[in-house]
Amino acid sequence: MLTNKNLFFLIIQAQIGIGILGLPYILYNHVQQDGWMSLLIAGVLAQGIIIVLVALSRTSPKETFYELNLRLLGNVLGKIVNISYVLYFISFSLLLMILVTDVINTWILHQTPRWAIILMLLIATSYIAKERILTISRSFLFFSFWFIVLIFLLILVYPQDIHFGRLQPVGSNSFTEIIKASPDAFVSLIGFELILFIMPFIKNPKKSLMVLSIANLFTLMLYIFLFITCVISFSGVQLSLIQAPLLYLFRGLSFEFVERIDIIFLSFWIVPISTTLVIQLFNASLGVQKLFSIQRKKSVYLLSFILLCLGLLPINLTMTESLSSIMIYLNIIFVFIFPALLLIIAKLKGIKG
Amino acid sequence: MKNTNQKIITLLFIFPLLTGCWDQKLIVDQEVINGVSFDLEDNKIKSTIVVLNIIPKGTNFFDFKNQMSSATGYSLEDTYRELRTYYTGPLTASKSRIILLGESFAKKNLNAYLDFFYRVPDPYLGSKVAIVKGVEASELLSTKEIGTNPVAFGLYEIIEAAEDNSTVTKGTLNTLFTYFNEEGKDFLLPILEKKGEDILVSGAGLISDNAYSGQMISLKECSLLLLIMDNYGELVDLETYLNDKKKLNNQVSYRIIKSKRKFNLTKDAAGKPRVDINLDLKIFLHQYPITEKISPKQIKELEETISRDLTKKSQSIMKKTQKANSDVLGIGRELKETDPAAWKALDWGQTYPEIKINTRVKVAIEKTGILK
Repeated sequence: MLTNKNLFFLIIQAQIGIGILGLPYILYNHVQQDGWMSLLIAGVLAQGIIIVLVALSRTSPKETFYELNLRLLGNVLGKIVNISYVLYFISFSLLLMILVTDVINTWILHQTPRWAIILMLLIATSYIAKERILTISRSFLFFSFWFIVLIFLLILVYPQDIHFGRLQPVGSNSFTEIIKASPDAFVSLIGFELILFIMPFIKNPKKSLMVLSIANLFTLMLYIFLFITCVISFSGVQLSLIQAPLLYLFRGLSFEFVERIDIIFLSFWIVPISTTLVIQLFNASLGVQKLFSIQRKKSVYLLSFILLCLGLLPINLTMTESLSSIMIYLNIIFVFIFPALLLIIAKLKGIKG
Repeated sequence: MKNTNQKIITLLFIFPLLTGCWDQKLIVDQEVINGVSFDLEDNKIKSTIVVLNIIPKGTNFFDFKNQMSSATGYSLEDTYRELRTYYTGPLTASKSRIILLGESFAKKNLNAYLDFFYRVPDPYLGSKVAIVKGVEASELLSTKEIGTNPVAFGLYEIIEAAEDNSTVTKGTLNTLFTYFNEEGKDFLLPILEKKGEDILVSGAGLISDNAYSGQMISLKECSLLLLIMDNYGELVDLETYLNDKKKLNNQVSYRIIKSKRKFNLTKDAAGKPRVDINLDLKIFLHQYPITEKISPKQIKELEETISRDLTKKSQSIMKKTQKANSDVLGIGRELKETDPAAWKALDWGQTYPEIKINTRVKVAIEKTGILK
């Protein structure tokens, strides 16, 4: 059974991943130094969704989302929805893997082919994802050490050549512009939908809303801190050029005996990135287990194999970009709109947990 | 037993993957560039690189040899193509310590030329960048050693020392990337000169719009400029003549303990920006022409003399930056941040030389050393 602590680390590990590398760049290109406002709006949006998700999972705390679908929507419609959720998780994982391999290829391993990186990533993630959720959460607790490292490194940036004035003028963009940029920030906050699938395993379901809110707040604060650090250390045009500002931030750090913190950092940051993949695999494997009545362990292997095959496809830059822009909307549909509809249906049917 | 076999087989599969043999870059195979210089020669770029070869001479004894080569071409890539052919292994800039720019080269738009260093992840961004005055930049690299250091390391260290002594602002290739893209703020680059066989940092070159303006702040005035910029190093030493009549041994020198800058951007009657800078310095006398007791009255007088002198000097320094059109204080940036509408209405390149910059320095002597 998951305790509150376990749940907290599961959620933050699911939220924080690859998005953190490029988030300040994306936000800055939309709304310049006002990006933190978009982040705040996205955070509030995420908080609202968390409330909806928790309310939905509380309607029947003993069932996972897939079981709930089947019961509320009937066998046929429920199955269709479940399949589309599995497909959503697969495409999310695929995009994640493509982005990871891109970053690793450009920054560290220039000649290593994509399949090798994807294979390594999948071996490691499926190894964790096949375990029980409690085991997963314990390993995540251990991996969360990297967040402390990240925060420490970000603080080290401050004695460098920074200029707080770069945050000014505050609010130079119109309010609509700021809101328009918030879906981009929202993508990086995704991960809390996990609650729909692990509700039956939680020890203290009553506290889950609070734990999720704290986890969301933590992630949001980390992102805002990162964004502000990036804005004050990079000059305007520069930040709009650098695709991975977090790594570039560390590229400039230099100490007596350690140089190129960026590469060292990225090598280790693969761990928090793969935890996101673990969660996606976990979510999808639950669905596959339900759909085809096979062992969850086997469904993890099956999904990994499918992902490996998909990763072998020749995917170019434009395809990746269109996939990520589609993903932005898919996220909102699958994480927010659909669960909200389901909640309404559940309430209408008068089913209470 | 079956389980153990399974584990061993899995491990055997995983180990070859973990080694990452695709991306081995052994340092022995590579030629590590230590220093780079760029000059302009009949409208072509001349790049020169120095590669350090370490020659082992028995246990713990090393000698080194600099292998230097130059190439000319229309672009950095042209020259790089040629340079590659001189060396036995692939060249890498992942450890370059110093980048020297010839005076004529520095007057070009530097941002456009240095793009190579920023676009790929390999080059080392901690390198120091300096402008070479008087001689070609490549000539400095041809020196074998500075002190006991190989040339690139020696140059790196003298620039670092100049930063600590507040001659130039702290800067690397990385900070340059930030400055290049900053609207409304220019920056300083160290100027290297050759004096006989020795190389020295002779001042700070004023950069205007990402190109060297050709004008520099001399060694004696640099520290004060850095104080005005509020971006000084560990040590700030200044000196003032006690009076104008006598020059020989008539100087008081002092170290800044604490500096407080008040920067005030306002508009004058005509709507033009106007800047007031107030510097409050707490100083520590460390040299006085005569070893005698300095009375409180003398200290008062000294404070006044020094304040007057520094105010006068700071005015002339600001005039120099305006003449070079190099907004090192970032007044434009300040305006952009506090009053975006006014910033947009102005052409800063035209405005900066004409705005009024008022500086005033106030000095308080806090200590007189261990002597009274």
